[in-house]
Amino acid sequence: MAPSTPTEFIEKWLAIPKRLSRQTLDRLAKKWMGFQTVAVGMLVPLIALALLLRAQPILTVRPLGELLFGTTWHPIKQAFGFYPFIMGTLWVTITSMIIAVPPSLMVAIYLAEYAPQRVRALIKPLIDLLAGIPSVVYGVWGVLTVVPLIRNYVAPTIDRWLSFVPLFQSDNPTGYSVLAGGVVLAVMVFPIIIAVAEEVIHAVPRDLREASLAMGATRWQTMKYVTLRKAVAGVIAAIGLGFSRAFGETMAVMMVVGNVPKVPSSILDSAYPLTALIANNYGEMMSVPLYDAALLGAALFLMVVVLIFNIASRLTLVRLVQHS
Amino acid sequence: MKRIRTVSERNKLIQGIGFSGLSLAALITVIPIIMMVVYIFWQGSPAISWEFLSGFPREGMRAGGVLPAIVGTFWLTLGTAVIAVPLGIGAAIYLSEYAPDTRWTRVIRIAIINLAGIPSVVYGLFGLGLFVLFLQFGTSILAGSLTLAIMTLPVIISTAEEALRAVPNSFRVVSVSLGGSKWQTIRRVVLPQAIPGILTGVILGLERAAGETAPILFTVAAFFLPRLPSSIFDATMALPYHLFVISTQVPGMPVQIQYGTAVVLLTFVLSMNIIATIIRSRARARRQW
Repeated sequence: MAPSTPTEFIEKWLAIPKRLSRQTLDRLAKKWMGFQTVAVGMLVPLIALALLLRAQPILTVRPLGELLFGTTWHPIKQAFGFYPFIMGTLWVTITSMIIAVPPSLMVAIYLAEYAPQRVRALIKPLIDLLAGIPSVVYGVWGVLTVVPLIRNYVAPTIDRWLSFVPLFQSDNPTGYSVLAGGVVLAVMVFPIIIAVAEEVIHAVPRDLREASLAMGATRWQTMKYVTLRKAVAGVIAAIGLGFSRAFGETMAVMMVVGNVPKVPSSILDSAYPLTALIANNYGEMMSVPLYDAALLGAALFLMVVVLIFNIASRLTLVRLVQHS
Repeated sequence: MKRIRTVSERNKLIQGIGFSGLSLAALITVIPIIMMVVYIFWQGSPAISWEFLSGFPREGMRAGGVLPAIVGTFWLTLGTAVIAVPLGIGAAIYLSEYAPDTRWTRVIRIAIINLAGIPSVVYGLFGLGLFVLFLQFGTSILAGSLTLAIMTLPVIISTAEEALRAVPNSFRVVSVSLGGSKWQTIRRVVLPQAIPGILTGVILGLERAAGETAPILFTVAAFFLPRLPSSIFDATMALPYHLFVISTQVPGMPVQIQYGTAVVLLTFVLSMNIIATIIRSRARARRQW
């Protein structure tokens, strides 16, 4: 029956949702959620594409080698060499990994292999809690505690005893240094490396351990020769995740490394990481030609490096889970 | 000292030394990090007062309170939730209940996981380019929430998917065998069982969004704005950015205010974390499967 009055028409139209059969609703729900999934999945390619398009102007006029290895950064004079910033990022990241990896692996092994159940139940949520602390808070802690500590105690001590080692020679009196960035970043990546490595070690099948123990090996020998051998790929993946986190970290690092665009030659020198370059210059980049293309190119480089480490680590972890 | 004679005695000794060394290393790693958090609270709590929480910044932010930043962070977190929660849960349901195990699904899954790995400053640039400039939302709560939502999505999706997968398959089989359609099964059986797990993921994702600075740097945050936002197209102050500003950009800033602001942000973020942990452990205790 055709609706005769507007009211009837609206009533009929409103009634449609109620008449949807279960099957139609089922199909609609599936379609809609599938669309959402694809939309979210497209975000990574979309971000990469957007960065690539916006960086295009500088990529077409400058060879990649000149961008990556050029040492002068002077946007007004149209010199865009990323080398000091790439080296800044690498120095800070590697320093942080040297500080963070050994202790966090020891904590992970302790938690997975030795800690009593009650200690585990206490420490694991605590580590999740640490992972949730905003990076800017770590940065403030760095500015107010780590930097003065390095300026007043660490740097003078190193200067007194170790100044013959080139790695420790510096005339930077401020405390804002690669070392400060490394310490702050190390504290930030502890929770990530500990959480993932602990999970991987814990996931090593019981039978392997039991076989080793049944042969008369001690728990220490079992851990050293059986469990850790089996877990080594996963542990490396955990370190890779920590590395990519440290590589892309912005706020905490830029607050404590000093931001001087020069290739550091000592852990007490200042550095200027790529992330800080982007975050510090977003305001002024519009007026200088090629400036914003250069910064977006830097972001693209950052994203590519981080994604490579991330994908490699994740694939390793997924494969391990499937095997065990 | 007792002499060590046999191999087995020697091995036991090595084991004792080894494990004590590990315990000690764990102790001297974990305790200083916890001390750091305690130290921030200890230094900052004297600055917390009703005036600090409910007042506006004064004298070039060197005095007064942090109310606009608290309000701004609250609205940003809420905006992020409104955008990211429906999208994230929808995608999680699809991935766990509908998606066939094909190469395509795997590619999309990897893309979603990797969304979590993108450096936060890159999100900021993307948000600036897409939401602020291209879609012309301006530096606004809307643009900031959208940017934060993108980086929250992977956390919500992966935890929600895990929660949905944890529901035993027999629940689904029973519902379908009683004549329920797939969607009815999800809606009435699977989803209610998974709610606590999903909620935990949502809160953890929002916790991350609330504390991020780099993505809001370009998209919403105002250096100093002595009024409260009145619409989603307003810029606003936000706690993480305010903390960044007062600890790097303002000379002669009283240390106590810096620590105090850090305490407010930490309390905001960590209480969300603790609520999530409580929901998770209570749900685990009560669950019947």
